Amino acid sequence: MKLNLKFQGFLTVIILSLLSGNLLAKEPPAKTNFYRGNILYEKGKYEEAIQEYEAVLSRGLESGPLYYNLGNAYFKANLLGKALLNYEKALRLMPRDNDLLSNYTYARSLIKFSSGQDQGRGFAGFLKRCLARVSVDELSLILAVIYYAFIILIVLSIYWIISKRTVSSAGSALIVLFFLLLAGLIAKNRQYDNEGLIIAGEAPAYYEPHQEATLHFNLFEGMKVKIIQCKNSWCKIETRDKKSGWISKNDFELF
Amino acid sequence: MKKFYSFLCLFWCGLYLLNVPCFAQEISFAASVNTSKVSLGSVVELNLDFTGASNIAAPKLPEIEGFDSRYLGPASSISIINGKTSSSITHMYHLIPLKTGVFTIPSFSIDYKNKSYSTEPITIEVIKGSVRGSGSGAESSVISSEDLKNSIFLRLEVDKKIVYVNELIPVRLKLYIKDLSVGEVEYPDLNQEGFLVEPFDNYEKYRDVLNGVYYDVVEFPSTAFALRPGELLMGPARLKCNLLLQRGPSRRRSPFDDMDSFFSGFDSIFERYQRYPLEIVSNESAVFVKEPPAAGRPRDFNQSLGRYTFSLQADPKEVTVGDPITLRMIVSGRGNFKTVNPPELEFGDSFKIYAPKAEQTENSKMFEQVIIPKSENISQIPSISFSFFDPEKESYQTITKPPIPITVRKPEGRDKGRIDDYSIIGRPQEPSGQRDIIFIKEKIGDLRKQGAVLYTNPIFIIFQLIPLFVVIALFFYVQKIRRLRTDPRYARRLQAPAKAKKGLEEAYLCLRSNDAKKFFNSVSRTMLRYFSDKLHLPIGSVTSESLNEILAKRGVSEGVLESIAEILAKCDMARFAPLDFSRKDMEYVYKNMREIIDHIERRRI
Repeated sequence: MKLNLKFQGFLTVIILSLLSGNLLAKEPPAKTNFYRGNILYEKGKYEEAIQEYEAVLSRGLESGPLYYNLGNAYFKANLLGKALLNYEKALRLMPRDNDLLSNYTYARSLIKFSSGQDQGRGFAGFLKRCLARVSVDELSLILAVIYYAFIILIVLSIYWIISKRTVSSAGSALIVLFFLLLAGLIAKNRQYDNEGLIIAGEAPAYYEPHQEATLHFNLFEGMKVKIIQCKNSWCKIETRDKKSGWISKNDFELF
Repeated sequence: MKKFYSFLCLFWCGLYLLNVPCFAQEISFAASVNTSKVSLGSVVELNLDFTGASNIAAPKLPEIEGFDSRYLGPASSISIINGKTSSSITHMYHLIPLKTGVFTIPSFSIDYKNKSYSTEPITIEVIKGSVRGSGSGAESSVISSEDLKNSIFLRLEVDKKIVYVNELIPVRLKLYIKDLSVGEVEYPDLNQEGFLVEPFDNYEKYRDVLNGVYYDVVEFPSTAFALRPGELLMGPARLKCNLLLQRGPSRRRSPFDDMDSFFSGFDSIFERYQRYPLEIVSNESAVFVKEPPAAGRPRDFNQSLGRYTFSLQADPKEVTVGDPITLRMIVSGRGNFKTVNPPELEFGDSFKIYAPKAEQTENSKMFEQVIIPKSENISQIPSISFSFFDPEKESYQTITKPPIPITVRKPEGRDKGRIDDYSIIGRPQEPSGQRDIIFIKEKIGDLRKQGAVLYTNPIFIIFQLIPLFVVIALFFYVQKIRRLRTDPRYARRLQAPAKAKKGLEEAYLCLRSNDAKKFFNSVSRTMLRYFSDKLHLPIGSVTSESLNEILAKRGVSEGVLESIAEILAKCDMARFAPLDFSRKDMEYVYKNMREIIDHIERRRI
């Protein structure tokens, strides 16, 4: 019996060690980088923390907290543009995270000549505000649910379980909602495709795409711009107040 | 009524008296001809115009080489436009060419009120043959492409040939038209690399003399400014319009007739006119563009060029820490307001500064800038200066506005609604008043591939496709069930092979038990039922003859028909005649029946 107990204990230790070893071996290095970055951040070594977080990104992986932490590290390293860029990326993945929203709005308030966010008025503004609170994946799921509801409606209509009138009114409502949200999804994707953020301290916008051109206006770190077209190492951008000019590709980064 | 007339008389007298001083206007004297090229046998109209006076006698023309002259008479006019009165008199002459060659109509001089006025000399070419626009014969003559060039052309006039980068350049495009009807004139297009040209959006029409010839002129004014230094070419500008030419049998063949195939789609505005689209290209104009000098350039110079004044207002002047103050900086005067940028505010850390809002009018540009004092210790808005380059004086100018005293109060128990803290409205304020970011996340969350979105996930896509396929399948299934219920022909036809299969199984069992009677009964029943269902016939009407007739029409081969007849005959014999059939016979019948059914099914009869 004693031997049995001893043997059982030995077996437990072996299994546990094997399991823990197995777990450690299975833990992706990406996560290790992340936790190492957190430790470095806590120690105030922000540049090194940035390197660790960036190492995860260089593996082609991403997550909301990763971008959030990276944004925080950049913020602490006094790189406001990069911080905002990562907060924006984090917002794509966790748009309702209170910590993120707080840090993002605070960082935005530090932009030179910032005039706050304007998402428009009326129904379009309401829609934009609603869509800003939902991630692309969530929006895809909502669309899938509407699609399933529509399919169920069709099935019910095939068997004449519900009246034709109900089918047509509920079906129309679902179709309208579906296309409205689909338009939102497309707009959201397009926004990510052609919007960028100034990462240089000051980015001069010229009338023409070369260094000798006349200066039109200046952009500052953290400002959002819409990319219209690119030519060699220059891109034509448009600001929120519809001013456009050519800036160097090094001065901004795309979302 | 009388009273009304007397009032009207008084009114017109008063108006006339009021306008009397206007008659003392500037006098001009000009000579013009209706064409610069004329054929022998035609005439040239020579007009001597006196503007500003109507009481000048016709001057006697001297002898003009190559021409005989004839005085036609005067034509005077008085016009009142916007209260301004102008008078003019035109003395008209006919010049009759006497020989071919190039001749010059000399300058004419007259003395009026102790002042001498003279005209410019005019050159006229006299040729043999007919020329469009030569005197009174113009209407019936043809247009040559050379004539078209002389009759309608576009001139680009740039007032300044040497300018600075960003300096405003007045630009005028003049469309000259002579002896032509032109319609649907579009605004000219002058897209120019190196220049930014304001779009043309207005025009003025008048008559003008160019090289002694009268033209109808449409002038399009605009402004431009150069974007880079160097010797730049402005132009050519392009203008589109329609040339209106009279139709009719009297019209002779013109060069445009060759272009008919190109413009086959045109239609006439009026029945008598035909439209020919024209694109007129102007001349080019060289402009030398230089940079404002580097010497003496103020540090805050921000590409503003012109002659400006600068004013500054601040409102309100008494605020609490965190409250906004609006600075209104107004730049007014003459110059290129497009490149006027707001003055740079060098306030250090004492104010939070927001992006300025610009509002531009024709002669001024106003920048509204919101600033927020960060501390109650601030007592003034520091001085603001605006620098620009004056191209007329060729020097930099700086206007500095002195500091504006303000009163900034300490906030009293107010901790929300401040613009700089708009982000945390509705959240509890940090007690220290100083903000920082919220700490990092401990967990990495759901790691996933960068850029991977749910809607591109294959599993997600499959899940979206499954219900679609289910619905489609369901739809066809329901349709089939409904058809089976409502269409007996379809139902019977569909069920025929299944029933035949059952009959074959039954016959096979009889074959194995070597029971000939039962076997032939089963075969007969199976065959008749199969063909009855397949051909939607009552079972009683299925006979060897009827099958032969129907199946032959549907293209069943003779051999198969014979086999069917043979099987049915054998069945009848077995059932009704006391004949013995061997197992071999039964196997033969069974095999044949199988083949027949297979054949019918395969051929979808």
